[in-house]
Amino acid sequence: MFSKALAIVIGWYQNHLLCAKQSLNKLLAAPIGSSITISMTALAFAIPLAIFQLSQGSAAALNSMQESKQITLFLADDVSYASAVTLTEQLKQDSDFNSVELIDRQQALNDFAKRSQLEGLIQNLPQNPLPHLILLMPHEQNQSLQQLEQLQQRLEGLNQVAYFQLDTLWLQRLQAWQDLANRSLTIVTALLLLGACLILINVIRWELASRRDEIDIMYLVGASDRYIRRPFMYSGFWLGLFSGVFALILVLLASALIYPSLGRIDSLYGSNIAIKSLLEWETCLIVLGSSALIGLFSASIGANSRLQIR
Amino acid sequence: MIRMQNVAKRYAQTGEVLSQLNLELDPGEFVFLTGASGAGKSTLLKLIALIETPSRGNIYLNGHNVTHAKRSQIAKIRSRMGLIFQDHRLLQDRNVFENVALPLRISGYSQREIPRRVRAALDKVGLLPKEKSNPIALSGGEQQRVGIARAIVHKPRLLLADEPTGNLDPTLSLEIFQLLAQFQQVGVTVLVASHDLNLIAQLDKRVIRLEHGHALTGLRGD
Repeated sequence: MFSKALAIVIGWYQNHLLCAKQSLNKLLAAPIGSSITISMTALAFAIPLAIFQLSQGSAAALNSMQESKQITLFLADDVSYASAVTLTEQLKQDSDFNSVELIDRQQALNDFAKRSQLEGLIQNLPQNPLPHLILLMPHEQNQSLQQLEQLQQRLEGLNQVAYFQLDTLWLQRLQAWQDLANRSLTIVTALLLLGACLILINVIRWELASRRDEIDIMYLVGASDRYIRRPFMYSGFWLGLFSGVFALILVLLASALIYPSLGRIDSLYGSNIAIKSLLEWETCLIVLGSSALIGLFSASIGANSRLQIR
Repeated sequence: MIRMQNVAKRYAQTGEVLSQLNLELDPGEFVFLTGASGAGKSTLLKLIALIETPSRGNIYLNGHNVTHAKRSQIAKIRSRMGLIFQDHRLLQDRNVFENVALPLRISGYSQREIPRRVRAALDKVGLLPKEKSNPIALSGGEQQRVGIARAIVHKPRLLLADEPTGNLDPTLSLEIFQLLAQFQQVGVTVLVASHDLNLIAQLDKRVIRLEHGHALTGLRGD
């Protein structure tokens, strides 16, 4: 009884192995047809992947441009140096901020005089027109637009502050663009993946149609739908997997080609888009896994639509 | 083994082929099915092989009502039968060995078990030296014997043959019939549709004649 069950399991496993091998051989036996199919689906996988990689890189780069997120507090005229120092110390205790720097009005005036070469003129001013300044850099975890707006509300409550500067409009615009880019990428990805599925479904349907006689004979000899479908599932799996491999090669080639331009952008902005745009091996694994799954999924739809499995 | 009760089969194009058909086959019986062409011999075999479903009536195999068997059950039931066709229905792109091995692969036999059984079946039909040949390279009689080897390789208890000698000369036909008769001797139920009354008369078997969609049962060499 046990050995009989074991024999069935072994037979089933061997059949899977045989199907996988035969489907692979069939693909290799028709190299032109297979490579056209694989190229088409690979393009459909590669385009969103390339855009995604590039957008990952630029998002990281934009985040690294931190100057825009620096908050400048202009203290009121009547705030003394001592209370400015006290306020600075208070803010330093605050975990929301990464760095807090006080620029007192005398130091600011001296700097300005030096830089503008208007020392003579400035020395003749009846009083220092500049306020004390505190430069705040929010903590990395607090740099989303929403969190910055919360900080803004808190800082508005401080009565030593005359006004402060935080360019949230710039951030809002940036975020709006990022949003648009992400949504477009999602839609483009969905459409291209749908296209890839349709290509594979069609290929599997044709393969089934061309082997109709063979399938009819197998049914007569007692084959189940699952047995008949198995080689086609493996065809779909291989087509999907090879498309994934080819898509990765395409993206790697493309990034090799645009790497110099990215490097130039990086050197001008001090960013690191180029590095972030390189494929990580986790991404490669995800791409290969999902392309094989898409192949399997398409094959099952293609095969079921022809076999009319109930 | 097989019981058909008031079975009727109606096609949209040709009308009723079988009507009010009653039939019973005992296990281990060898039965010829005769009748003029168009009498419904093939249809009857297709009903038993669950290739067609009857318009009315019930079909029992081994005491189970299989009239409305599900698709997955049909595959299972059919994998326990042996089917032989007039046009052999061999896979032309595979050699004799692979053709005969097909039912074993479908039933999930292991790679170790398959060659042994395939060679036993080929030996039985006298085609062991041809296991590597392609069906196209064989004569009609040889192709039919490959078909028979495929039908018996998994040791079915029911063998259905539809005009297995349709394209063969009388000597070869007799050989095929005698081969089929051998399986009855090991307990297989055999049902053979044939219009070749001369040959049928040479074998001493029960004959069922189909006429106007009804079965007329004679006992011996009718």
